Order: sequence, then C-alpha cells, then structure tokens
Amino acid sequence: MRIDPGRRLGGILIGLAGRLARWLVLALGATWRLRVVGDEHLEDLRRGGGPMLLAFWHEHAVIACSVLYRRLHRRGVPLTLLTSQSRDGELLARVVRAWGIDPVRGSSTRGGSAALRALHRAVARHGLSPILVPDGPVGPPHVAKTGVLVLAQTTGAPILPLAFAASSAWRLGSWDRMRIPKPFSRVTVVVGRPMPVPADATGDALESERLHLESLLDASTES
Amino acid sequence: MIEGLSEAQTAGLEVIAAIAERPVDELERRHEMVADLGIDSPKALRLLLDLEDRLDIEISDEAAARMDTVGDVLDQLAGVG
Repeated sequence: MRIDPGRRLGGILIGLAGRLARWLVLALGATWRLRVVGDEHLEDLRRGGGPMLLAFWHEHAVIACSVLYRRLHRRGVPLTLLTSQSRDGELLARVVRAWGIDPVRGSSTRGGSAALRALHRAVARHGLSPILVPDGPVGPPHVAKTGVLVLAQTTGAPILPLAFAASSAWRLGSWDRMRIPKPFSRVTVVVGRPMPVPADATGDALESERLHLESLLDASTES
Repeated sequence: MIEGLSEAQTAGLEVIAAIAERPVDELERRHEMVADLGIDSPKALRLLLDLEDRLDIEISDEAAARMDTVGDVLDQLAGVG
C-alpha cells in the first residue's frame, strides 16, 4: 500500500481543524443567551415523535449546529447531516463526526442523486432526522432547491423550518455571508410548525410549497 | 412489448411500470421517463431507490443522469446479474 505524505498531512490538518471548530462552536454557543420560540416542535422530536427534516439557511449553519447539538443530539435525537464533497464539506464532516453524528456526503441538488437516496434511507429506514440547508452548498442565498421538498414527499417526514436571529453577529465574506453570533449576544431560534409536503404535489403546487418554505426560513432572520 | 431482456432488465422494467403506473407490456424503449411516463423528481427518486433495492446495485449520479428513456435504463442494467 502506498501512502501519500501530502494527502495524509492534509487529512491530519483537516481532522485537527475539525476538532478545533467543534470546540470553538460549543464554547461560543455556551455564552449565548438563547431563546427558543416553538420549542414544543423540538420537544416532539425529543419524545421520539418520528424523524423530521431540519432545514435552515446556510448562513445560520454555525448557530444551528450549536443549537441542534445541544437541544437535540445530546438529548438522544438521532441526527444526520448532508455535507458536500468539497474541502469545506470535508471539514464539516469531521466536525460532526467529532460530535458523534454520521454525515451523508454528496450533493442533493440533482433529483434522485445518490446523496438524496442515502438521505431517504437514513430517514425512512433508520429514523434519523437530517440537517439540511436548502440553499447549499453554494447558493444562491435564501433560494431553496427542491431536494428537501422531494425528500419530504418520498419519506413522508415533515420539514421543520428553523430561523435564527442574533443581537450581535459577525458576518463572513463567504457567498452566504455566514452569521456567527458574538459572545454573550442574544440568540433567538424560531422553530416553525412542521411542514408536510403532499406526495402528489408537482409543477405549480410544488413551486408554491418551495416558496412557502423560503418564507418560513426567512422568519426572524432580521433583528 | 419489449423482448429479449435479461432477468435484471425484466425486473427493472417492472419497477418502471410500477412507478409510472403503467402495464409492463405498454412500455417501449423509446418512452421518455419525464415526457411520456410522467416520472418527476419524487418518482425518479423512488425509481432509483427501488431499482437499487430490488437488484442489489448502486447507481451512480452519472448513470442516473443518463437514464432519459426506458431504453437507457435497460441499457444500464444490461450487465447486471
């Protein structure tokens, strides 16, 4: 077996970066003053009420990972996460593995893609609730792709829309202008009512569902 | 009626027929999955899931993207089994 030293070093560095990112996200999240609106919907999950598709905009990924880890994963709700095949996706995959969450790798932008099939099985067979970013992996921001809707249609699991606001946050220069709430800021999480997607919705009806999801994910984004 | 199919292709045709809600013997190689059989995104996902499960295969994104017609699907399944 041949070992590529450069690749191995890259893997080690990504692994270390993943652990550091995990520690930073948890440490930062512990300082936030958190308010959750609609916590009863998270409680449904904690009581084993069946898998849901946890959806939020990509710009809230840091807040969402911290909140969902503390409010769901640590309380026994089985989660999974779709991460892209890119280098950023690898880093995110390392972070969530360090949290004990097994990610699904790939892209859900194409209907019926291998990643979407893996997510379908994770939901339908294993009862996992996937964490999804409908405008990922590369935007455009706040425009939902149909993958999450198709997944809801085929699994029967509702989408749980999550929106976030912070009293004070850094904005990164990335395509999504990622928000990272500053230490000790007030963070509000709005958990929307679970949104089932009719299995027979196509064309205009499916587009209407997509626009409805976008409006739910935009709730409380501005603060 | 499409003839001369392998066991895997016959199973694949049955899966297409079930998803499209059409009798197997009505399907033709030239039928387009979307335009002729109404296989939209949710149905495409179910089709690929059912093909993988029934035939115990993995279908790559590249192969899935080439499945535009019934004949395309059957061609993809030619070497299976």
